[in-house]
Amino acid sequence: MREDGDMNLDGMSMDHDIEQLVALAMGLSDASDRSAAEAHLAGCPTCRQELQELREIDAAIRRVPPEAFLEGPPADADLVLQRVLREVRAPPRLRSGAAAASSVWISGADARTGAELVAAVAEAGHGVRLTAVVVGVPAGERCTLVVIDRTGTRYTAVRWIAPECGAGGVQGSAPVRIDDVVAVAVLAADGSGIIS
Amino acid sequence: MRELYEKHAAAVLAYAERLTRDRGAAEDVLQETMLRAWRHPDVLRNGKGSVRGWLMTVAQRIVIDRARALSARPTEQEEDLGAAPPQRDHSGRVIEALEVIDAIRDLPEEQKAVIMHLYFCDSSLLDSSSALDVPKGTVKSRAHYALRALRKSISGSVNTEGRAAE
Repeated sequence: MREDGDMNLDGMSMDHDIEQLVALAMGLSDASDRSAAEAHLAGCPTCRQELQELREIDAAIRRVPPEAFLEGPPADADLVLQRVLREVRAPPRLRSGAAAASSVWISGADARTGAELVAAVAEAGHGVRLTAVVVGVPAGERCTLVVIDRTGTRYTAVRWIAPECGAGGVQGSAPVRIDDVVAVAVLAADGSGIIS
Repeated sequence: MRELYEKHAAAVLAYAERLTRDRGAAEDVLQETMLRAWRHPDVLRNGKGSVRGWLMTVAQRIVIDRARALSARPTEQEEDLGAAPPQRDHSGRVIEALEVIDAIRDLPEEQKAVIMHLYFCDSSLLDSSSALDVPKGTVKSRAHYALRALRKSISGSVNTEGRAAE
């Protein structure tokens, strides 16, 4: 043990080695540095206070999740962005009732089958993405949600089996430009229209 | 929104995925986080560079709230010991730590590299020194400047918040 511990009680000694304290706080000191620093600390309240603060910073850094330093968008989750954009854009458009937009709401009911359909059609990449709620379909019915374009061509967006409660929410997509969409329909397994 | 997503979504998604251990749930958390950001444009506009910390804090809260909602629901899932409720104390400390993120990202490149090696790559002093191709003493002194800079910017942000709250 060195003598200079006593000399530092006035807090004015040249021996306050901030770099040594940082190393100590971060756990980087080797054994001899550590015992020298501890000998100094025993007699130096200024350095003890400094060490305490450095240790708090050290602890705060250790609590930062490493993911915090990833940059850029996720490699394969552009879908989430599309979902966010749709949700951000859809409500005002629904209120204003604008039809030709990047997101359109379609709804309808079929008197014959008693089924109802509410669908949001949103632009997604080069096609459209649909979020639909279908009610009043007999449980177990194999349904297909199709998008029909100007030429009358049908594109299957999603297939599902109607749940027991008769109400189901589905999502799908179709390679049709949003401006070319003329109708959205739900078809039964035999191809007959449930609703359009 | 696209810009925000392209800058920060990878970090938020990876963090949410580690917390939830479920990619699908993590994507939901990312979506909800982005929507909250969109509803709080003031956070994005104040330009103090704390956007990422804010997003990760929000993502973390969403995960915690969902876990609490699940554990509070009286179902047969109660037997599931794997779904232990998050500890309040621990989560609070993590949120506080998120304030450090931007301070680290804003460090000069040389200091940031040292911090990344020592804290986030589990490198020893010797490993960091050879990876960065500088002497051990240089690693230590850069770490020293980095820690002091971090303390300064963190205490600065605490003071600013204190004033804003008054």
